[in-house]
Amino acid sequence: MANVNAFLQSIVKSAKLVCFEKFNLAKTAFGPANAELNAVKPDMDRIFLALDKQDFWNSTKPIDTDGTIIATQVIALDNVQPPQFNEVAAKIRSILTLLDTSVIKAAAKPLALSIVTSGMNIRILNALRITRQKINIRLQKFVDAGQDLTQDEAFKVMQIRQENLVKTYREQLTANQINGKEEDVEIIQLLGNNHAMAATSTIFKAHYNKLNNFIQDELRQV
Amino acid sequence: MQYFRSILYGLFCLLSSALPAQNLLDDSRNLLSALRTIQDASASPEQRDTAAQQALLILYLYDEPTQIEAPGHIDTRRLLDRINKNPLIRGFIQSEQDNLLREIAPEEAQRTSIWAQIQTPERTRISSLMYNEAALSPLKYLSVQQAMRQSQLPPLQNSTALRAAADQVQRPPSLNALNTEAILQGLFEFILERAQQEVAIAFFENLIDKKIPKVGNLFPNVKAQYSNPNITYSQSFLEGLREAFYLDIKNLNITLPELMLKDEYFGSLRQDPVFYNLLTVYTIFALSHEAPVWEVFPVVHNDLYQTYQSAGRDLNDALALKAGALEASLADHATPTLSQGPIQNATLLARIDSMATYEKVVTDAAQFIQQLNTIYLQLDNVETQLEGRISTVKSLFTETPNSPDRTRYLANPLYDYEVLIGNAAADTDTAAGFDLNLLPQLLRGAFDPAVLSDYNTFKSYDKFFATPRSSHNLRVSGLELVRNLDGNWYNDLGILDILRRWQSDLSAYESAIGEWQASFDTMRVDSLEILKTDVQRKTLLQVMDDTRTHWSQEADEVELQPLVILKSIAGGFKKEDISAISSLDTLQRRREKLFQIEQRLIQLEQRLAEAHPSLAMESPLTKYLTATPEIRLSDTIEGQIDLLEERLQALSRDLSLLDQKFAPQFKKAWVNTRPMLQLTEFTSHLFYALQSPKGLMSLATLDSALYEPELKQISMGLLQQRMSRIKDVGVVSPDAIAQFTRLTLEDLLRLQNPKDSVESDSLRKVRLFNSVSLSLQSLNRILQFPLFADPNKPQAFTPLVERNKSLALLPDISERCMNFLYYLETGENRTAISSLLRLMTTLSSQIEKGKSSEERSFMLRFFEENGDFIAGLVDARSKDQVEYLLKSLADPPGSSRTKRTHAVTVGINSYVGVSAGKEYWERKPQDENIQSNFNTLAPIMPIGFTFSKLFGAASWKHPQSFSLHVSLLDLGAMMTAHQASEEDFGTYKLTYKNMFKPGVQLHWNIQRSPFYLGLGWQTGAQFRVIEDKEISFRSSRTFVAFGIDVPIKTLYQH
Repeated sequence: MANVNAFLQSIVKSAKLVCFEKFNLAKTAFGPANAELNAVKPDMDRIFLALDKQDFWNSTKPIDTDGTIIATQVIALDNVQPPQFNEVAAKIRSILTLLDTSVIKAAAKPLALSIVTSGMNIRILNALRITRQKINIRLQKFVDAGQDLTQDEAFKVMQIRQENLVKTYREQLTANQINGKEEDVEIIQLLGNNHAMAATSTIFKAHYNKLNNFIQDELRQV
Repeated sequence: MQYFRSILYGLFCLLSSALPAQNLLDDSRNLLSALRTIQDASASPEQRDTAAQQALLILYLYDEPTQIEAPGHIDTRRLLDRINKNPLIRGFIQSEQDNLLREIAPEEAQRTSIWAQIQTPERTRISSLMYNEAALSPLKYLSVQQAMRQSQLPPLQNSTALRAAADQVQRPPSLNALNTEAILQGLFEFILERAQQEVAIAFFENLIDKKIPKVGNLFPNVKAQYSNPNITYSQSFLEGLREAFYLDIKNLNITLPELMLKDEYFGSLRQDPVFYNLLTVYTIFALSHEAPVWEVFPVVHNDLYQTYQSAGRDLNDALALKAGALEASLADHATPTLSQGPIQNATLLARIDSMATYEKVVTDAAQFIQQLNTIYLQLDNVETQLEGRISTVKSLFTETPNSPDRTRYLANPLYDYEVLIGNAAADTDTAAGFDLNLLPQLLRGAFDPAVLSDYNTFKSYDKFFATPRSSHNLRVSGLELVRNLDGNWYNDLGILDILRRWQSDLSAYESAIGEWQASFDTMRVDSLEILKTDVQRKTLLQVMDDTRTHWSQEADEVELQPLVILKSIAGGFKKEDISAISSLDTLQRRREKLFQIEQRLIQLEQRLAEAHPSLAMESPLTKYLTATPEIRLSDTIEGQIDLLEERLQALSRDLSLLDQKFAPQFKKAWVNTRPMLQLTEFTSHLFYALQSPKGLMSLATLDSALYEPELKQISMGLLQQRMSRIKDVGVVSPDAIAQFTRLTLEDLLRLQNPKDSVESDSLRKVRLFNSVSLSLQSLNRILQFPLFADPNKPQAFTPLVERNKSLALLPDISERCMNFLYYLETGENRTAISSLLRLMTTLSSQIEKGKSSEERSFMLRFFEENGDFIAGLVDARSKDQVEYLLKSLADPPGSSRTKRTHAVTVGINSYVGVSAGKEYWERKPQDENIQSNFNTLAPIMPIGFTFSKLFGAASWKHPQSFSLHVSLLDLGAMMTAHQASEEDFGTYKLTYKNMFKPGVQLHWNIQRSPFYLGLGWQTGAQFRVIEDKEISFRSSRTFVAFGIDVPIKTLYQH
């Protein structure tokens, strides 16, 4: 498995290389007593020490940061040549701030704050939507055949149960509180097809109940 | 009446089968007739139904050029949507016809029978050649055709003449020593002729041993037969060589395209659009005298399409390789140490910069998918909410009419998230069947295990791992997927098309629900609307406050006083509510009041704007009036789709940037195919439309249709429908296409004149010329006719050469190409070779701009140096011609100019002139040293090597050429005489031994003349006679010479 943050890590490595090199050159130019440079040194050590740890990069979750912004700043620092050495400390500080906020803090950010419904959960929502369409189509066919299940008391109970279950299931899928699997997609699709092909209302209700129970099970696992 | 209808129906069916649609005009007539029947109130439902099916299939035939067999299913809605966009056809389809056509679903049997009538075998052939994946490549196609014709060597007038000529090369003439004059003349001729013969032998050795192996692809027969280094120049040598060259030249039209496809020769040139187009034109012409022209274009189109696809794969492959290498180099980068200097930094940063370009594409792709998912969630949400609304309304009312049928709006197989992410695509080969959610991971070359574990089905396992996949494979799949994002995604629709259609249907569904609810829930609807008027009133109050602030910058208080009263009026709806007799009346009265306030505000603002124009722009009232009055749930998605489009554009831009940065050459090779792809597809469609089982339609038939406005419009509409499916072509000018069709048909019909069983050579040449020139004209017409709509100027049409500048040189190229092939085919090999050389060298220098391939340069040089000889050898019909050819291997007369015009030349040279100078003789008989100095005036005829340089070619007004000549022999030295001291040095003897006089001379080559003026020195043994006894002694001479420059062979020139 390749490191999902390999690109960012390589930028951080380059940032360290360039920062230390320019820092040393500036220090040689201005002498060891330069206050600006001395002030930036502890932060340099702290941030790069944190970023040197391999554990930091072992996470499988990608860090949500645009590495190109850091790279641009690193390139700008690398381009600083002797007459402009007084800019070195400020540019290093700017890179350190970016690394701190965009890498260290971004990596520590809890997932809940950046919810993006997973692709698999969307596939489940889609399967559920289409299955519910098929259920409605089949229900209408029953009505056309003179059998209105919505007037069936037992079915009404099942229907209310499904409405509530679907509502919660949808909310939890959207909020990624359920980690859906492809097998769930296939199950819901299968149940949808079964509803569409149900020859009798009894079979239809049985499938309807199966769908309810499936959703109930999924919700229980949360 | 029923009886009459049955007869009419039977007649229609009979006519339909008896007059099967055969070409564009038949299709047009049948379509018109079918559309009329659909609208004919007197026609029976069966008749209308059959007519609708026929109309539908004709339209489908022109709308789906890739459909070869009878279609399994027709999506009538989509077809009619597309037809309605065609300005020429849509006028013929009234709403009643449109509805009937949309409802119709032709049964399989009917589809097959009608399809068989309109998709004739001739059309099937063209479509198959164009679109079948297994279609023949042009080279194979050509080879098959070529193999059927035996290449026969034309006989020489006298084959022994050749042998004689070869003997001449091997055996120099003998000397006649009896006659001194003859000896001198003979010696001179011998030297020159021998030199020429040696040059000829050296030429053959060089040609066969060194040059031919390097261009062996073009001369396979010569290479195979003469690859032996110990070849003897026997009597039959020239004859055999001629035969081998003949066969190779006859096959140049096959071998040359093969060579052009080889990377080492023209690989880099293929990136140039001009050269790429040349390749295509060449192939078209090479094919066009071997096969019918209506088959040539489809074959070339198909081949181009395969090339296009493979170029796309190569491009993705190159990008993935580079990205992989960059990532590896960045990952391997050891923890930095301070010892690394700026150079390492620069390299590293350059790599990061490159990787950042790739990362940008990955980020864009991730954002695109995120936006796509956002849109889907909204679509899903709105649909669920609308269902919820229906349930709620139904629960509130005991008796409700049937709610709108959701299936009518939304139960479309297109409206499926699996379709959007590519899981439902029929052809999953293009991106190895991965869904879009995996795209960022594919681009990064690795799957996230957490995501991978979600795909817990055997189907996915097999999809991912049935074949081993490397990071590189994954990246290539990702890039292919990215490139397809803005193309056809499902059933010829793009992702954005699907979403827009989905949103539109969802919006229609929402409207239907609103109407359904309003039909019985008037109270509730009215209350809501009444509430809205109150919101609008408050908004207007705010607008009035803002208006006062806005205009108070320049207007005085008096001007703004109307606002005081208007604001007071807008304070409430008390009067309206009291006066109303029902809720609907309340609503109307309130709306009227709001309208009146708005009107007065507008008038007031107009007055203020006239007085203070500087503030007229962007006033609060303008913003209020232009704001969207009401946004429904489904309407919010529209903006999200626009955003998705922007994301897609950004992704395309960044991908293009990446192509440019990582693999510019592959990108060019890929892009260059497109214009010719369009061009060949366009022409193929035209030929398709003009085809019929009995051949091409007649010119008179076409003319009659073109003069009949209705038929002209519908036939040009059908043609336009077919052309519009060509990617990036757009709308075609109906008038121009009509004119274009007529001219092309005229040419095609001329070609169709029956062949005589015994065709004379001149007739064959005429036919060939017509055939090739038709291709040329067709091409040039498409390039230069203002056929295509100009996207920047509505109603304006531009030619293809203006839309694509890279095609501008094509007419010129194609003409040259045609010349080459014509001469080659008519056996005028010398002219053919020089045409080829002109074509290649011109193009090469025009395209290269300093960048050349060694192999290609060698090939061009080879043709420059040897082309005329080879072609001449093949063309030779008599002994004299062969002898002349061999002599021509030496430099032709007038070659003395070469050293006066070229910067540097090296060659074998002779001079004839007179010298004047000082001669020094020294003889040492019996320890005696006898010397003599004397002035001489003697002829001079040295032979040796000359190095020449032209000075001041760039800077001097009159550049001057100087040569350094190192002579080995001097025929003139035989004539040197000294009468004064015969005792010491003997008497003159005419002997060829005296000509061995090595020396060196510096010449000034007088411009614009063959004369030279030189200074020289030479030395060597001098032979004379004392008392009938030959003596020899050392002599040397310093002299000034003037004479004529006689070059024998230029070995190098620059």
